[in-house]
Amino acid sequence: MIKHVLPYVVGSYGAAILILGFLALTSLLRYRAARRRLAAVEPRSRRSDGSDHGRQGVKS
Amino acid sequence: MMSRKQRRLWLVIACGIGVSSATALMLVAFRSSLSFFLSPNEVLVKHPSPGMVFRLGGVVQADTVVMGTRDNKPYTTFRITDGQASIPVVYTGILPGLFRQGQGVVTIGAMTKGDREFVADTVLAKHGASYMPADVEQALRKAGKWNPKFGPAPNAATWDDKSPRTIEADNNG
Amino acid sequence: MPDYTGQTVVSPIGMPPSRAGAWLHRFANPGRFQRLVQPVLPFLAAFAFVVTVTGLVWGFFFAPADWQQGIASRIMYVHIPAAWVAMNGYAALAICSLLSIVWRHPLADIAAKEIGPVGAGFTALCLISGSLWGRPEWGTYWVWDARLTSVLILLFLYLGHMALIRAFDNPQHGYRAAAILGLVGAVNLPIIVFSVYWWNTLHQGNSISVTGPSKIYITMLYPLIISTVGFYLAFAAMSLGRISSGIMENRARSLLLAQAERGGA
Repeated sequence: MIKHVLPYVVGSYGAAILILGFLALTSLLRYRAARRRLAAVEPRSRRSDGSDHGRQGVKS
Repeated sequence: MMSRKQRRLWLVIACGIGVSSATALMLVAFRSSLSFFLSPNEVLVKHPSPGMVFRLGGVVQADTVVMGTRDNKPYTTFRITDGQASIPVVYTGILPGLFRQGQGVVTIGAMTKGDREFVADTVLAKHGASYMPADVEQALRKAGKWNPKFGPAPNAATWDDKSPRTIEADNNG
Repeated sequence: MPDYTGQTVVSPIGMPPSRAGAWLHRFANPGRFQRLVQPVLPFLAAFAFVVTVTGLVWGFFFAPADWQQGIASRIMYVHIPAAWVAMNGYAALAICSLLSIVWRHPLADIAAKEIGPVGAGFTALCLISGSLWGRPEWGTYWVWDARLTSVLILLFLYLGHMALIRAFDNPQHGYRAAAILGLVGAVNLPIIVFSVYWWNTLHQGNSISVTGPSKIYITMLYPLIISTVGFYLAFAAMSLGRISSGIMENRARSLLLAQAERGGA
């Protein structure tokens, strides 16, 4: 019988912080990098919203 | 004349029906091996041969738990019931924290010769779906609405939003 | 860019023609998506963070201990929301797959690609926290019962989708193949939900019910609801952010390609 369950609770919350933190951090860094890169190559000073993007000729 | 989109949609629907019925058939075919354990009633019907290892699950019957020591090892005998049938179980070893009377358990082991008893080498506790603070459990007990040793918690509507004091005061409800 | 709106839209399931299709196309336009999502994203992310932290802090420090499990019951504030988001995330991925196969929406392909890793993270969290609960309470980290096994299969579906959608030199091939996997894998969702009722499992039945009373005491239910809302918001913020990044990356790449072609010609 296991009497000390605290390590298991801490482990679960630790896993939550690690996994969610990792996902959030990578999402944020990627978003910033993508914005910067697009701003650098975008012609004129249009908003870097990625409009007009699309695969050509994928009509069905 | 169907457009390509329409044709693709029907194709997807047809494949979906195919895949789901194939899965359903497979699940029905493997039904017995997908069940994690057998209930006492199923054991009586199926008669697993002595020595064949399987899992037996159910509720620890109230007032059947006997603990002792044999060869310096703790052993426990109790009966597992599903409300219809009950089977005596012998287990040597340390029980999990949630083990108590009225608790759902799953045990791994085999029947002895002559179907007399089930010798378990592992006992796992099966937790119920209800979560309740200790004071609520005490209040239910005092109100005479629930004794954990006789099975799972009463209908959640009678306790899930009432204060312990209300539950206790509500004695004849 | 493909002129979707100019096309005659066929609606196959008896809806008035063009309505559903036009609606779909309006939101499937990557440019419109960016204009809609990018201004909201910082607020959504901040809100998701605040709600998630509130739910987890409440669950870890203030939620009452269960009469039987003690403080191990606090693991549910991580486990249950993660399980819900994992399953509904896969449902979203399957819908994207359907949109991709039938209507060939470029946005659906990008969305499916970006939802994959996020959903896999939540599924892994569900399995890890469940395992850490099982050791003290059941007496084992893992059993091969129908519920646990079907959730493990969900994780493998996510991982397989992630690998498949990135496996081809021509991304279109990856999108097609992954969409098929995404749709076929959707049969696993009802199996996860009903496994605890169809078969005997070690895993308990559902504690929260939409139709009947919940089997969770109210002071334990509040933090559960908050952390569930937080996890959903976090899933939405991270997925939308990644989809947005994916669109921007693609656009930057095609702009560079166009520049290179102009320069080379």
